[in-house]
Amino acid sequence: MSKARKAKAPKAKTPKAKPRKTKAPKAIKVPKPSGTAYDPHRPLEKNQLIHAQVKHFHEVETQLPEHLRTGMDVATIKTEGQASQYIRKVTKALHESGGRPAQKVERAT
Amino acid sequence: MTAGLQNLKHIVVLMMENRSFDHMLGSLRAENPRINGLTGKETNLDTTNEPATVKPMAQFQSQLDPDPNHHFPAVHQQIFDGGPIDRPTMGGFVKSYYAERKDMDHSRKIMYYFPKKKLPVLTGLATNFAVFNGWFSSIPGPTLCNRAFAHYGTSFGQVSMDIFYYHKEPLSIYERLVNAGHSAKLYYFDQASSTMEVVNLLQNQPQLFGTYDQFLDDCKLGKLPQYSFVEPNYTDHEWDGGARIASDQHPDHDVQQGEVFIATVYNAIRQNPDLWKSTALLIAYDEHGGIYDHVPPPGCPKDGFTAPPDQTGVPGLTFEFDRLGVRVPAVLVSPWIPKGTVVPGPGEPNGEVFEHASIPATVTKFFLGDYPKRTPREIQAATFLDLLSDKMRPDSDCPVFHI
Repeated sequence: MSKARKAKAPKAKTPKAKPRKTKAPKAIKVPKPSGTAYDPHRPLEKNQLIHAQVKHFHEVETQLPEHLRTGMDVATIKTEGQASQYIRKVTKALHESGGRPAQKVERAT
Repeated sequence: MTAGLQNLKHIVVLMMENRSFDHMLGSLRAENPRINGLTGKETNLDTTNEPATVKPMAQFQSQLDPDPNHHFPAVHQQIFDGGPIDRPTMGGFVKSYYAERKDMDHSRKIMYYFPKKKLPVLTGLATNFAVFNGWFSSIPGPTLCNRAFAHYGTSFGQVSMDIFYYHKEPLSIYERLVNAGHSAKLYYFDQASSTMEVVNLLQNQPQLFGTYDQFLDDCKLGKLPQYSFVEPNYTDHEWDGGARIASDQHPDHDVQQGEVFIATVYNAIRQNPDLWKSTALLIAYDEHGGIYDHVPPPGCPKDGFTAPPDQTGVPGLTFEFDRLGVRVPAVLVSPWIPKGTVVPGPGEPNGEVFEHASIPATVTKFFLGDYPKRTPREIQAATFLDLLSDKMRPDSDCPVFHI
């Protein structure tokens, strides 16, 4: 007995779902600075801003309770790295002090 | 109200240090003439009356050493070059820098600017979002009085680095917001870098402050306050045994590290989809740092203060806070801003003048609405959120930075 050859039903053409292409955002590469960029020994006098920072931190330190003061002589601060260590100590102390209670606001003249 | 404004929940301001518009973004004019940068023909006379021309030869570090003078008398010379104060020529930059080292060749470097390819982050953001042709420092002077305008809308009459004005009106933008039940924070980089607001806000209200690591966490966790002010790292210093390079771009700090920092702030917001669609990020520089820019600073509404000659340091000159300082780079970033937006400046059709008082003016207007206890200067300052449109750009249309 011959096997009746079954006619293959034509396959319905279903379009393959293509993976949706999401366009990637443009990537911009950011170069890093050279190894010589870091210099904590840079003299403080080269940066007027840090110089002023040290002065201001010293000003506020004198208003802190004695136990929170660093006792550092700011005249000995000669480099950016030294300045940052001083700023770190006073900033920490200012947070520990909790700030000042709110005072009456004055109108500026 | 546009859809961009309806979606807005957070405003973030990143304020960098001491670079002029032309120095950082002047090169962009070559590719887009609507950006008011450099033609390449701008000059200043040096001390022998020879012209020093702008050149795309700015270096990341070791070029502007010593730090160019940007205190009031020096900026006065840079803008007016010895001429009358109704005629700003922008002609005295080289002579001003010469006074620092008495070195002719070196003084001409104050005219150098960065080619676009050297600053892929700042120029990438400027060309992909909105760049301001007319954003000026608030005072022709140094850092602290200029930064005060970003916090208070005034410097309380100061034109210098001496700032003692806490508990005076107007309140800082942070206090205004917190008192009204909103959230606001200043994020300094770390405790060794700290903040420029030490004498006033840090001393009195340390609870307003966080660190940059906290900023990154807050972005990731969706906990960013409604208003954030981010400060870069101001010093090269050690931290937990590692080296942290200053990222403020203040001369003589490395400009590339500042680029990395700007990119990390942008990425932190960009990588949280909810935050990205609900945040406007402004990147601005506090003042020009003594570096050349070609646009004369315009006049502005008076601030209600005066600085007498003993404070300005210019004999016979009382400053009435009625004119601005030198132009600085400013870029506004949001997916609701059409690509390539250029905000026209003074002298252009529909031009507007922005300055640092525009920051508290914008934040106050958006979060608090009518708030009268401000200086006339801030009340009249231009605001910038109308740049947010109805259409949010697809993710693929906004760049990402690979650091």
